[in-house]
Amino acid sequence: MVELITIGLTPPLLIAMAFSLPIFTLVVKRKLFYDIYALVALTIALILSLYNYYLVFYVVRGPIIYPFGGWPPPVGIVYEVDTLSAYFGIIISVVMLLIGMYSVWYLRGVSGYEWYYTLLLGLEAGMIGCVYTGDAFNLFVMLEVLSVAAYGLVVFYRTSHEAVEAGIKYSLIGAVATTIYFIALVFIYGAFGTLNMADIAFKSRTASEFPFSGVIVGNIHLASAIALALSMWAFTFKAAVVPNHFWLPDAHPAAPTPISAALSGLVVKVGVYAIIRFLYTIYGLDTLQPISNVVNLMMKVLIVLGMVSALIASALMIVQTDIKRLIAYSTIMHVGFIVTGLSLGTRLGLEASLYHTINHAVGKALLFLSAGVLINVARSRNIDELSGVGRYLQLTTLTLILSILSLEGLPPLAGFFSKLLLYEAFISSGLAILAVVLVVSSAFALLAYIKLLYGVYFKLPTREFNKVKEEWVYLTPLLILTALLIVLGITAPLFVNEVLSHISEELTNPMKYIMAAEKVVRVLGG
Amino acid sequence: MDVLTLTVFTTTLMLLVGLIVLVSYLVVRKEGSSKSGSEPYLCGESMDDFKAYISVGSSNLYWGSVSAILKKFYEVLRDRVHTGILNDWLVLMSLWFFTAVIISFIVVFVGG
Repeated sequence: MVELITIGLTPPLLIAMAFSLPIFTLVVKRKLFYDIYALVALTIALILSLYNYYLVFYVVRGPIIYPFGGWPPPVGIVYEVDTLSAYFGIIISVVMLLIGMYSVWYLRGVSGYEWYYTLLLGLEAGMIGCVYTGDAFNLFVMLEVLSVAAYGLVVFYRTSHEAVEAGIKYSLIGAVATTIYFIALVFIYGAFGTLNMADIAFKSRTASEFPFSGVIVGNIHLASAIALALSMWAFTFKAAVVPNHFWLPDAHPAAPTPISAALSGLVVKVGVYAIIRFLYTIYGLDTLQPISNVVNLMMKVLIVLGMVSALIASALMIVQTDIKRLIAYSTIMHVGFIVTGLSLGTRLGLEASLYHTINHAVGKALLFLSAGVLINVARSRNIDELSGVGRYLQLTTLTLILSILSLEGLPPLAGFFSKLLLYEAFISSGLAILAVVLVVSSAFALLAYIKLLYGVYFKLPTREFNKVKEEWVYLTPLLILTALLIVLGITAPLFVNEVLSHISEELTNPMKYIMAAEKVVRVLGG
Repeated sequence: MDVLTLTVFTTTLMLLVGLIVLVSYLVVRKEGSSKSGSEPYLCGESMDDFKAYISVGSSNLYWGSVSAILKKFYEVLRDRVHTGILNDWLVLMSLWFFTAVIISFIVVFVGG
């Protein structure tokens, strides 16, 4: 059990480091200290996530559990990390470290960096907590940790009217969404007598007794139906799926650029993770009737919503003049693809969605961070006012172009392969219309990206940017992200076979997840 | 050879061809090509004025075709749906909420 402490340690350590940081402001004023402090914390999180991934994929070859305080569930909270959790943990910690590196440059001359880093560490703690937890109530708590940090970061520029308005709207509806998820938990607890994910998963498939928590205590069919409807509404808000997407195009552009990258690249993916966890592990197509019918129905509704998201967002991308708003709409489009793929209920659909998740996280973070450099130099987010600025920042423009090409799906960049897999998944499910929507929305998005590139590079500069000089402080994370896009692309066959197939297998056969928890409960519960 | 491996192989070849073309271009191109966009020079006229005429504003790009073909579509999408007003959003969000709850009930009571 001692070696598994890395699982339980990651989120609490990040939270402890986040809460300790403001204390240092009483004695240390230099920005360099806080830069190093945040980078050390983010590096530790990455090392722990890598170790957890190694444990799950290569040592234990199955889910691993850390019971807090040694209490068995449902009395205590457990973290249960399976291949899906480990995969999301890696994505979050890698991209967050690179965002942290970029922030060192971005926060030069900006006041309030100590609060920025406090919230950034809180944001990562919340995200990793969400993907590591094996307890549905703890997922609610971690969603709140993540959300509170995100609200604070969106209104970081608190003198900006736009940021304050976006933050208020985001937090108001966000609070409604998490409350609705909380109500879903009330129904689950009232019927299942537990909030442990493996326990609920077992009872929703067998309706029989689970060690320590005992038998079901209510109408699990009705409770599950209501809980699924409520939680899907809450998670589609977090993932920004139409019609729960309205907050995103306002909140993401208003936030500091590294935070826009984190929100678009990672935070919405936590919503995607939660949808997968509920539709495949906790519930699933193999659950008892009529729960499986509700799951099936929810998947069909999500397919429709995902495709509508892709079409609406790509159409709106074309008419944007704010570069960050354009990129924010692109996030809604890609999340639409991801949600549609995972809702097909097939292994191929899951693999395609999970592959697109990592490609979009890396590509979108790169796009936002590259655009942030151009915005910083031109002091404007308006594409017309960014005219020709890219000519003075050749390397940054190169990374911007590569991120766009990947998101558009140009081989051999990573985005092509995940879109190809999505395309295959749609066709093999007999839903050719989805493949058509994928192509049409990608074509709309291409028009928008051409407009962006025309503005920042091909259009002649309307003013001088003579003092512009590229710096390695921000180029390092940009080049690492670019390298990741290329590596993820050229290793596509290996990546699908070695990583994604294991995850999709575990998700479609959740008994491994259930049995791992049952074993621990038997030992701890006596 | 599966489709993914084939694509990696093909695009690597394409990349090689592209690199050869690029290197050939760099070898044969004339010195002094423009990088900054300061050319062309027009008889002492203000460069700013000139630049303002030769480029189409990014915000105007596609606007001709968009307003000609999809004007109604964008009017609905931008002016009625994405208004930025919280109450307007809530109508659509509530619609999805109640649809999800109602159809779940129907499935349980009809299918159960």
